[in-house]
Amino acid sequence: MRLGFFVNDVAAELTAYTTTRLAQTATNRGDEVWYFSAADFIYGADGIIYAQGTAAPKEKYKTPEAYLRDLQGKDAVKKRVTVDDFDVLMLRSDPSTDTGSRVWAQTAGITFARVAKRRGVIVVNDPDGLLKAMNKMYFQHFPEEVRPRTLISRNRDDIKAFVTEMGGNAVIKPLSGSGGAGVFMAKVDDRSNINQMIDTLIREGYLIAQEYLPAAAEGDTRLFMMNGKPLRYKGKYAAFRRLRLGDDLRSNIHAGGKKARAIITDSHLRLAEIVRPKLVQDGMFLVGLDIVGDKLMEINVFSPGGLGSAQQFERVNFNEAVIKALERKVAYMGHYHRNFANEEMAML
Amino acid sequence: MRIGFFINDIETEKAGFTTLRLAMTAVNRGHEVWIINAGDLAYDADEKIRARARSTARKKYKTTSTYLKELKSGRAKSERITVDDLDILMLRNDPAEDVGNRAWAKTAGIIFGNVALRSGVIVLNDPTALAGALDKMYMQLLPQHIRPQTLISCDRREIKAFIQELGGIAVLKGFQGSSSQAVFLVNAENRANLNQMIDAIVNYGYVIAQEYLPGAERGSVRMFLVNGEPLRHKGKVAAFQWVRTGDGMRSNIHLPGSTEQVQLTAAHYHIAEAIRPRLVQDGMFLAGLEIVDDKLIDIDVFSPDGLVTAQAFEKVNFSEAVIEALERKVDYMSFYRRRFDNVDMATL
Repeated sequence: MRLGFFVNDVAAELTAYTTTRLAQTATNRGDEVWYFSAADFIYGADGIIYAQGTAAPKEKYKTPEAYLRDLQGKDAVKKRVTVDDFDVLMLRSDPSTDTGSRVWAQTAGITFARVAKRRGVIVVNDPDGLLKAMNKMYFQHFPEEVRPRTLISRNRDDIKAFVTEMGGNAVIKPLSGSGGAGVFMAKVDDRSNINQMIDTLIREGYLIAQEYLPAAAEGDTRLFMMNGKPLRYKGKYAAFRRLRLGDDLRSNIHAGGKKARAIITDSHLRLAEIVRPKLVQDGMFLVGLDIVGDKLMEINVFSPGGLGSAQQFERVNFNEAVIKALERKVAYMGHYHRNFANEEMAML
Repeated sequence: MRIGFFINDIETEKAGFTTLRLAMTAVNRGHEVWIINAGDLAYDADEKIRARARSTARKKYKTTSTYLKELKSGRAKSERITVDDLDILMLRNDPAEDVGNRAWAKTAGIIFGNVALRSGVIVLNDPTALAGALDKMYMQLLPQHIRPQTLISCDRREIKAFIQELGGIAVLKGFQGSSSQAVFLVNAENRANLNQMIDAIVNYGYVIAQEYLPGAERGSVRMFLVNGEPLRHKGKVAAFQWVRTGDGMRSNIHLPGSTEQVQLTAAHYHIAEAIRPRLVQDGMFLAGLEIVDDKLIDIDVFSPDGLVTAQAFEKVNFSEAVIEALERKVDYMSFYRRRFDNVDMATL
């Protein structure tokens, strides 16, 4: 199959990224793999979507290091390709890293992919689904019972009243963006700081205040969902635990944390079952759930990372499972002559 | 009915704005009208959307200036209302105005509106569709024969080749749509500055290069669509001609220039007819078209302005027609006990 990966910037990709492993795996399986950076798309005068693509020159790579070195090296193939002719376009950029003068890049993949999907390219995750998930309100559309209690406001008094109601502490973060940026632990006792923290964030927009779950002190579990179900391959779940380091509230990988093997329990699987209908409705092919106790803390639909960590603990190659799932979609799409609703194909 | 108008900020609202005319008309027809600033919404811990909103005390207003003065004054009611209990929420903010550190405000109405509609509030235009119309790619999803030839790219060579193809004359503008951004007319006289013009736009993201339409010399026609059809009231259609003055490229109503009455032609009605299916599919209740010759050069689905100007030339109260259309929706919605798909309701 012809597979495109849309990323923030090809030159900034790292070996440890899940995207790199997926691309290497697909290449080794004989697929034609291209990378696109945020500025590489072209909407041609003929109404067709093109892109300046980058590809690694060789047909097999032993390690993700070798693959990425070639992709970013001087022998990389650079060519103007027709995106509309691709079988699959995987949107794997992390919009939260495109800030300041690069804000335009946050939606570039979604915008061009919304056109490409009308031409029969399978786009995962579905770009219209991703558009809805550009801010953290998306999370509030999942059933109440799986979420911590939440308030979203730009009013300092509302927020402080909520923190008090939550027993004096709560997690505070900005409504836009994902990842660990701008996440605070607010304690009402800490009067001098809470005003300052809230004011700092309010200047940037709306703010989420969330019930603090004591179980978060031990870290969280990342569970991958594929086609709306827990990603299971050769009897193993694609999951791992992230342990909290000291007092740092942010347990996500970018914020630095230790990882361990995860034991997937019935309560994890029940959560996965509850989020399934919404993920299916929105065409969310590959998703990372962050679970604390019996609650979901976050759903990462843009560029969930850590498939390599899951592989390391479970000793099965989950990347292969993902690429095989895409190959199956391409076969389906072939039977239907590239005429099938993308949000449904994304989950088949 | 109970209706909320979501705007950028009451402090920047002007008496001539269409939003104020609509709000005043609704007040005069006996409705409960609330004005909501972009930063005054909240998602409360009980999962309801509330807002600090303003409403006027009097029952009748003759002019929008008195209405606006009253709204801003201490006599106005300022209350925390439950948005979920409103019949209608009109999203009337202009995202192009919210730049820099107010960028968060662009999508606030869309984000909270998407939650409010779950409680049966009719949200117009449909927030999901608005999210997809934040950049100018929305135009490219409309039929090709009614649009000027267009290329969208960050690549200087692509842009230059396209301008060459167009015979050396083209319009260049930014893709994200900010009112303060430059619009350039490239021609034989300023070709030497082409690189600088491209750079000035590319620093903020993608560039749109577009065929220059000779009729743009004269200005453009503004035509309003309601429920996917030309807004017609007492035999008149809401439209007017915007006349260009001087060298300014933008025939944008907020910029100086003059207006005059327009005689709509078959070409104008054809454009309205050609885009109707898309507007209905997306739930775009109120849209403002900008037409030059037989092409649509822009469509404003956020906060189309100029209804008052159309009223002045056609001597009928189009605002009344818009409010009547909303009253009808509220009736429909009550027949169906506030359970009806928002996208469908938007153009009924």
